[in-house]
Amino acid sequence: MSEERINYQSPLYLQLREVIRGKIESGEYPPGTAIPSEHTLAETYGIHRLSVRSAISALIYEGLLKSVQGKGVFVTGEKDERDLETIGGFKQTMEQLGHKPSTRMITKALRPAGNYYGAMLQVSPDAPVFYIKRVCYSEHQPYSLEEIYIPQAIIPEMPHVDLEVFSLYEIYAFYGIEITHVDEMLELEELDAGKARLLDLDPSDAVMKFEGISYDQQGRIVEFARTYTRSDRCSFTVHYQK
Amino acid sequence: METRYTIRPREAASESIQAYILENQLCAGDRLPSEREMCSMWNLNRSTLRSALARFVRSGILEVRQGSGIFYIGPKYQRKLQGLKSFKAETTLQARAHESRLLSLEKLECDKRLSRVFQTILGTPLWHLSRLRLAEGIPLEIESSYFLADRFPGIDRYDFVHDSLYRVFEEEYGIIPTQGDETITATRAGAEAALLAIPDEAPIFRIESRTYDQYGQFLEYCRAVARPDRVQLISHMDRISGEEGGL
Repeated sequence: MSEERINYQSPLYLQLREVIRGKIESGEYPPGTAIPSEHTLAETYGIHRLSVRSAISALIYEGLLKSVQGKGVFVTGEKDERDLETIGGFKQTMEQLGHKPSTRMITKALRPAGNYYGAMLQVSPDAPVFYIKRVCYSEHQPYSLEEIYIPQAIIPEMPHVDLEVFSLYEIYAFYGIEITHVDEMLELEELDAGKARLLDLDPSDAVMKFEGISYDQQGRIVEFARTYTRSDRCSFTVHYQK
Repeated sequence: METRYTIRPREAASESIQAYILENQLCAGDRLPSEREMCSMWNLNRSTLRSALARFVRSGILEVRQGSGIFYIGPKYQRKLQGLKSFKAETTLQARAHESRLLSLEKLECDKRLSRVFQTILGTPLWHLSRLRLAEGIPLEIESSYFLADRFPGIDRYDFVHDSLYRVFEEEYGIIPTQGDETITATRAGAEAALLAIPDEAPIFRIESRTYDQYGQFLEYCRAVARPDRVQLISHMDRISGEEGGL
């Protein structure tokens, strides 16, 4: 696999990618510092600047490096390790990681479920559903984009609820709803230009797309949520035990 | 504050296509109605429908066959996370993959990176087992496992094209994979792109797992890369009380 199959015959950008990765891992390039410039790397290894650029771009995508306009390419610290088994909203999750969360509401409105969301939420296509679209920030940097669909029957008071003040999970708790399990699916997907802009990404940067259906203690479907998470900001971990 | 959301034509188009696949229980290789039929069924204009179709083609859900129409590729293969409950099956992916190809089964010496993972000195002998999983001839995933050679003498006599590594660990060597963790990141394809038949630099999943045996000893380190257009990762989370999680 990638590293061990790399040898002197591998494309140069792949070789350089592993050289840089190795130097980050060994601490030769410590977090917070800039790596040598494209020009220097090209000169040091006698390779083309385009190869240097492709070597670096994948590491930026993985979140090991961060490019700062006009300043250079920097080594980032560890990215967030998120626990996939912990059920919780964005706010709660970020606070547990010690980050300051904030959200920006793009849309919060009622719509008919339609055939697709009707099927996902197990309500009739005409049933009214709240559609919430918001950008989530961690330390003021875009982190994820959420689209959440909640049948109106679950929380009829939703139009009057201020989601800038309370998190969705807090609201659920106010109304006696406890999310007891979530079936979730993870894919990588390229965003359309509009969504990419909200996350401050290029449309070619695939993001992690989660789609999950949440159930409460009575077995009712509470929400269908789709979350696009920047892949350079976190990785997900699951623990297993026999 | 009762705002009504106006569903945009693009969204309506995507939702209609997805609903059509669901409601008609389409199977892999089933054909969708013609563009013209879909436009009139859902009251969409041609260019809106086309841009929605193009997105599904890009994400590996639909396929356009020149001259014969638009086809549903079929559900993605699901790889269950924390699903190593069923250790013997290794992954549900394996059960669904129709074919495994052995890429390597060899002894190697711990390099710097692996010696850090295994916390052993440089040069410690390890087994390296690498397999390509395919379904219907399409590569899905490459799995590369590493484990201490001294604990598993002669393991290269087993046929890992058909056999499960965990079965061999457990039944032939009495070492039971008991717990571990798995980390999922997104990265770009490097040297593995050719084997997975995807373009260089295409986004891929990387799944890294560390497994411990019944004695609490580090057993196996595994790195897998999976094609996101053919594989989806699924998990079922239950509200857990207490620290240690479990299942």
